[in-house]
Amino acid sequence: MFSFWAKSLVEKLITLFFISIISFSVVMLAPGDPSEIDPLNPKFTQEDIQRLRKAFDLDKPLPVQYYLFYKKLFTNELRSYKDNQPVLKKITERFLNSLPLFLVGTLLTWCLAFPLGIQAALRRQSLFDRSTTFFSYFFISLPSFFLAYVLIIFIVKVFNVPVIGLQTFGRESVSWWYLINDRIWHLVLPSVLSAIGGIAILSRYVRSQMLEVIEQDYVRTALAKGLPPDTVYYKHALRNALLPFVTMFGLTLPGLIGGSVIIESIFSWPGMGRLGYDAILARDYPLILSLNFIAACLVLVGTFISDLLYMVVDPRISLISESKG
Amino acid sequence: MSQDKEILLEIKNLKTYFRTSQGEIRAVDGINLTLSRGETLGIIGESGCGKTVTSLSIMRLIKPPSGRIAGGQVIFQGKNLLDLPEQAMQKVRGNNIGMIFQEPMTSLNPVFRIGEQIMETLITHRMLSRAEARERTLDIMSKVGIPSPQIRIDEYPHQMSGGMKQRAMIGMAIACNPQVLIADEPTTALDVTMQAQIINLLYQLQQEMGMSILLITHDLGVIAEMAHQVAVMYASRVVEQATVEELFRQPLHPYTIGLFHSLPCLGGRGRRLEAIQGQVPNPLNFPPGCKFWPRCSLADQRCRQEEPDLVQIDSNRWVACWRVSKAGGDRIKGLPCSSSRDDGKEGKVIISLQEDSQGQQKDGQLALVEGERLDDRGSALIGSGPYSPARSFEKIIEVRNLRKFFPIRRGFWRRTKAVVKAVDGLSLSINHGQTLGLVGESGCGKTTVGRLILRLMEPTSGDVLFKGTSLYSLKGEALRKIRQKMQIIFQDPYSSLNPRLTVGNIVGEALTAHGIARGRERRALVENLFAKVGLSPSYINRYPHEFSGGQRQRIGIARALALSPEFIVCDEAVSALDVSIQAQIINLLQKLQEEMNLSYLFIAHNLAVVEHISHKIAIMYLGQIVEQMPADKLVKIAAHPYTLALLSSNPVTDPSLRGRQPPLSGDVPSPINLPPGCRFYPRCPRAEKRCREENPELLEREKDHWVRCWLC
Repeated sequence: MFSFWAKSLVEKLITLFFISIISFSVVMLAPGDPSEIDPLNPKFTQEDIQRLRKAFDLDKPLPVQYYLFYKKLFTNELRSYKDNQPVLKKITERFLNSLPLFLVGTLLTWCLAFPLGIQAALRRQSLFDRSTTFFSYFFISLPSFFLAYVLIIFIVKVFNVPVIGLQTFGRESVSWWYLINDRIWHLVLPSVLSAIGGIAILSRYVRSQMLEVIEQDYVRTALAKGLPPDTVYYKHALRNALLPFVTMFGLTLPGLIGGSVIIESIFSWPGMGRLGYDAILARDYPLILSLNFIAACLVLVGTFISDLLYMVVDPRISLISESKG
Repeated sequence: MSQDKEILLEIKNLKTYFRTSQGEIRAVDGINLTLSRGETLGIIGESGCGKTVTSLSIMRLIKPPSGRIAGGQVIFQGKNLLDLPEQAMQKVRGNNIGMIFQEPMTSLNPVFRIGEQIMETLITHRMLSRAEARERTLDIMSKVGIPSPQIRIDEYPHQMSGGMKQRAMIGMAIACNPQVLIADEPTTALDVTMQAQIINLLYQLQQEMGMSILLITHDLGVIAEMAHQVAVMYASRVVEQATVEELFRQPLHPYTIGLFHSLPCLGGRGRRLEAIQGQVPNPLNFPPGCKFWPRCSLADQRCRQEEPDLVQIDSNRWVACWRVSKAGGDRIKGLPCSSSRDDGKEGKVIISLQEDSQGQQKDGQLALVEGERLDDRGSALIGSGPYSPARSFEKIIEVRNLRKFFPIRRGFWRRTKAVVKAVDGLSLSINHGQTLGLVGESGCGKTTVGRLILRLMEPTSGDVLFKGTSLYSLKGEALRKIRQKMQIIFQDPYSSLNPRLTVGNIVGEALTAHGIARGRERRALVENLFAKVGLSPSYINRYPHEFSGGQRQRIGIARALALSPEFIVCDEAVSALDVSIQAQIINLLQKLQEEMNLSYLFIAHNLAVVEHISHKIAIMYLGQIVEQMPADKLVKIAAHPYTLALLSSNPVTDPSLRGRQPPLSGDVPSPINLPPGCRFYPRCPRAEKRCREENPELLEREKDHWVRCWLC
């Protein structure tokens, strides 16, 4: 067991190292330069450009830049090119904005997709199954930005709540009760929208997985034992049907970054996705690379969590990893 | 003998239909069966005949909406189970009627502990607390022969061997002392030695608990060992029903007779298997009239038009055949697998029964109309003649001291912690135009040997010579050339053919790859191959899923033959097939051997099949050959305790020999930690001190008979 942890950690660190090199090279070798961000500005002289390049270490060879960049990242000295703010501070701020959106969205997705998918599988070919199938494909094919605008107009017209941004502009000094209400209103719509597509896709997966599992011999065995159908389906079948989703769950973690650029843009939500998007447009290298690095870490942590969860839920896994590796 | 017994379960005119996109399938079409208290009713038939659907119908486990029970009654203790509300039915399942399934590997839930799965039944039906249920589960586990239940109770299914899992399944099914146990192919997925153990266990449990067993199997041997009454099913109906003694003395329906004749039996070499031609008809388009007539050599006009009913022709016998009546005439004589093994001759009346004299009188009345004799069909000696060293001109394959070790690496630095000795110092040779049979339980390294000989794997040491050339010294073009001469036929005809290629492409692929033929020329060659293996050349544009198991195996053979090989490895090539199809494939392999002078390495676990097809037999145990001898002498001179155990594990088609002790207990030990002395000593009934200390050499006991044993 310990050797599994140690090995996995070492493997992940090595992967991270290579990711850092590749992402650094991709960003640095891409055409364009942060110093050329405003080439038409007549006040921007050649000397200014050289000064900027020097200040940002852009005049040094790439390996040195690589070293300096990660050194600054780990010592929290990294500052944005754009506004000279500490990068980690900016990211933390935006992260805290994104977190509720991500949590509510993910929670909604997983809490609704599973019951829907399971019921559809158990009542195969029924009206319920057919209608969930229809609506799933309907929402999968509907572009989220279109749906978003329709819903925004609807909510503003009916409830008179302007659901743009984190909260209603200019009402910071009202009572706390009103403030919480306002925050929730602003949170619900983007979360629901980001969840809809997820529910539609995930419930399809759950349905097909469940259909496959209830055809298995061990489900027949459980029925032949005289267990009540609920025990058979929700204990014997579901536990097996869940296995592949454990992997998927770990991989939702990177969704924290960039998972909802479209939704955040539509709702002017100051989250991580938009931070990255704006940083790319501004050629704000430190911010791009930091976000990239954090995303890589999240992916690796996600896969690690998946591996661990898998070992918990599937007793066969630990043995296989023992005997083979 | 059953009339005076109490009837426990009665099936009346049961009909189970399935709706498919191509039409309705009548999987069970009006069958009647009775099961008496304390007795075993065997249902025998090939796959697709409706055996399993019958058992699932009794348990009401037919899945809607496609499947439905269209009519009939299942009366259990006076109640019609088909009328019970679902909740009441749940109380019957697992409580009054227990069920075990064919595949112990897939029938247990992989994510729950064994103990949990047995306890569940007790908690549901007996309302026991968890602690009480655990206590009872431990009892049950020792009752079904699971060693150290205290440890095993907390293990997961994947930590147990196939035999152990089947024992756990049985434990689960008998936990609540059911009156009826339905056993659906309980031993099919197991090795012969394990099969003997499980049959014995079921037999003991029945004696002890007095339950009735509904035994579903395709294996006549299992029927002979277990059943009291037998129903033969063909194409959704029962075609013959009798007591086991009657049936084995004198099967009457042509299909039943065909099943007996399809079966290779120990000591019955040199007989051509009289396979039933064709295959079980597709239930979507059953032939009109008797469903068996397209495969029946006795069919006449009436058989083609009217379907016969199951009629009682004797106190213990029902048959559904126009050609069998009570009137006089010639009896069909001779079943090939007689219990008296010494006289391997044809045409014997079988099995000495206690009530013989009485039985004989009754037989006089039974007859086949017009006295056609089924056993008159050609039974000339073909194929595997006796093994004679004089006939073998040269060795086509010579294996010298072959070893294949798999290291097991563990821990952070992946250091080798142990070694699996899959093949350990194996030498053998195969002569031109002959067959070497390689037999052993699963996990003994048979398949690895086959792969090593074809160089599909690199050995740890040793060499394989093909016509005197060392295979492992060859490279590039020379190796490609020699590969043409060596081919393989796989066990599973379903997974070994690529589902995305037409069968014509599958067979012809090698011709293109080796630059032998393309285009029209290739097509002609492929059509030729199809004809050779008994398939219509018009099939070549179809895909594998359009074929039955037997046809697919023929395609597999055609694929192997494409490059005109001289040597073919048949890796369990007939194990997955039904008896009648198995006989067809065995006959085909023998015919091809004669025509093309092929040499086979025939890997299998069924001794009777191997004995039938081989010239020489090698018995393998844990990576080593323990005995080797000419096939025709197997029964007479077998000396190694393991060979003897395999021989007596083979189910005998003789009901009077039932209740034997299984010769071997336990599983094949793991090849990781081999015992220091003789590898077989932990299971050997005769092991002595010396066996524990030193592994014996393979020595020639007499001419052509090699044994690895201190005691032989």
